[in-house]
Amino acid sequence: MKLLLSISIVLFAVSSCSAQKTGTQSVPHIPAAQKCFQGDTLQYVQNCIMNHKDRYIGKPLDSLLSELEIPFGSVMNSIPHNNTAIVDHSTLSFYNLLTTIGRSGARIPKTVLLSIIWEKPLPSQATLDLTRESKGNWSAALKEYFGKQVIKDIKMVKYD
Amino acid sequence: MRIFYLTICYLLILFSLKAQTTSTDQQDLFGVSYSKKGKIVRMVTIRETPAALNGQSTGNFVNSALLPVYRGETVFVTGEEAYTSNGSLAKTLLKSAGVATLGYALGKNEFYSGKENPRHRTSRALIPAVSAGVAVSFHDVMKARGLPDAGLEYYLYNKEKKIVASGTKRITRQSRDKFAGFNLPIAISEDGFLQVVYKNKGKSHVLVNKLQVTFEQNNDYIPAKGSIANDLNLQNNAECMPDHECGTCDEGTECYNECVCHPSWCEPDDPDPCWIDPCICDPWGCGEDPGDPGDDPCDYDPYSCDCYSYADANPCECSIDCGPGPEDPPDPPVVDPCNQAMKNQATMASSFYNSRVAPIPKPFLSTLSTNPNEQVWTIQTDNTIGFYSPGSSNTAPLDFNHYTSAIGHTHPPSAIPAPSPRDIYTLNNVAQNTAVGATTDSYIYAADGSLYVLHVTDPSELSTFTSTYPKAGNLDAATNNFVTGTPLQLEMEKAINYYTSTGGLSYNAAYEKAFAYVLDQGNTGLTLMKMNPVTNQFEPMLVTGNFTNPAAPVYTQHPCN
Repeated sequence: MKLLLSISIVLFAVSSCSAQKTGTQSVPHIPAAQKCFQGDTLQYVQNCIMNHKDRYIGKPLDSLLSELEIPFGSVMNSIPHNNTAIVDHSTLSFYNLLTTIGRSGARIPKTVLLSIIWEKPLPSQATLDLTRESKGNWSAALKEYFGKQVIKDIKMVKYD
Repeated sequence: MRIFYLTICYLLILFSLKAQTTSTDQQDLFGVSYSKKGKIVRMVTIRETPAALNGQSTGNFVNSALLPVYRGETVFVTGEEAYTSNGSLAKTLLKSAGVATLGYALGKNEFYSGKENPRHRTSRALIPAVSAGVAVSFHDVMKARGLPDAGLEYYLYNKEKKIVASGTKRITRQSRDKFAGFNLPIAISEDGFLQVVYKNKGKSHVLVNKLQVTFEQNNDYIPAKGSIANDLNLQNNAECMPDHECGTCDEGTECYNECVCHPSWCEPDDPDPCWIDPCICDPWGCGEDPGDPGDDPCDYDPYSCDCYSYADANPCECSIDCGPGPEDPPDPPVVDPCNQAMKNQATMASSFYNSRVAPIPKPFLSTLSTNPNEQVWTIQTDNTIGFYSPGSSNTAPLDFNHYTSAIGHTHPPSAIPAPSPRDIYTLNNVAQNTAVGATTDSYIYAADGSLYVLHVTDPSELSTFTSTYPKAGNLDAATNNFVTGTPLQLEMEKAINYYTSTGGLSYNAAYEKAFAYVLDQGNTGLTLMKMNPVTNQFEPMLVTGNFTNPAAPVYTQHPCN
């Protein structure tokens, strides 16, 4: 009898602990930025990202990516003229590369981009090779690569 | 002891029950708390991304974006769903039977002392064993019991985004794995926005097969039409769900965008087959009367996404024939960048260099390929080196005077061979401060053996450029590039990345073209030329066009023939 009770207690403890975890599972966290996007990309970037960019400076890009309501579409990397070994900043767009180029070339209003200046410059060859694999368009591989890089500053580029 | 054991069992059952019913306060998307009856939830599995709703499908809900609606309209939220079984009930029964059997086997002799009535032997072992089995399975039984239904919630906002109405509809569950349809009509009382939220309150996976917002009361899945259809278009960056087709193109109405074309449907040799603006507008289906020569068919703007005409056909091959499109815009006029004037400039630059610059001894160039510093010098009107500095890895001071006719400097191995934005401002400074027209050339000797010249073709234009884009605020002294985030830097970046990502060029080769492009676009009054070591002549590097339409690529005329 004692053995039976001991077994029962152990089984209860395990299942109850599991129930506790499940019972306290809450609705997934809704990122703060989600409520900001009302259909206007320019306002979203200005009001929900740039006005609160301190949330992301000094942190990996993943801190921004996890709160984005509209995903990035492409990336453009920039190398200092006097140091071809590094990428010092990358410019992210919500459109794919050619659309970005077309919209900015046509000076379509509200085309907005984000230039991310890296805390630690990235190796240029590896960064360019990875970007070239997807023709500059945002991909899972780029997300994983850039997501780990720490942001030094964020600048908004737009056409009025 | 018996009472003690029974008490323990009772307490354990009670504890399990309490853990089961514990739930946290949950708030909806607008900070409004709802009933604690919301139970433990599971992930909502979306079988097919609803074209009508936003992609926010993580967790136990799917919520739409704010959909513009207008007073007097009636919209219908329709869809289908199904629950799936996960075999948990069967596992629970097996587990409880196993525990009970084990308990009975262990306890039957334990209880028999030999003195009791043998008829009680079995019950004295069986009762605790069964109790243990039930208690062990109680938690799982609670989980596997009848599934609560899912629900739709909607919120109506006025134009100021203040909530004016809300409602819910319970979606009754039918049998497992059978798709149940639901239809929720919503009357719009004033102009504003509508948000729809689908919530799974059950504990099993829910498959949402179809979910849409339409004007028509129809449980069959149809692409959403009307103004709402356009308003529902998503910025999903040209990626369809894997099993989703291009939606119907209704040429009689307005834009469609069930999905943006999937790259796999496009021609393999297209440079970027699906560059369509994901805020979609099929150029053949937009506007009141597609094809009306007086109208721009793509002037619809749902979410600040502009439709704009494509010079060529949609490079993505959607299987739906959208009918005749607007007439192709006329081809842009062909501009011959190598007009005679430019050829004359190239001839003049080559002649000046070969006759007056090349013959001047420059022993400091013997270390060009390895010297990490940027050396600078001036060339005077008497064909001598007037000033020389061995420089540093980034910049070097330049001392010139009225007799300076040209300047020269090196680019070390760590730098990009082609000229930098800094070189524009340096040349302007010299050109504006010597005799008018006296200084027209800046020579750049790169470590890889390339020789460039920045040739002044229009001094007044150069002066205007540096006034429009002054050095302070536009030149990054640390990198010699334009300042990050400025329009000039963006022009450089997009041109470089266009050539590296789509053209397969190396960064240095792409930079060369991009620099020539910016010189042209910025109306700098400068022309970039590169020495041809075979002909010993400078050849202009010209890039025209503004990347407006990638289907009509920019081109480089190098050399001018």
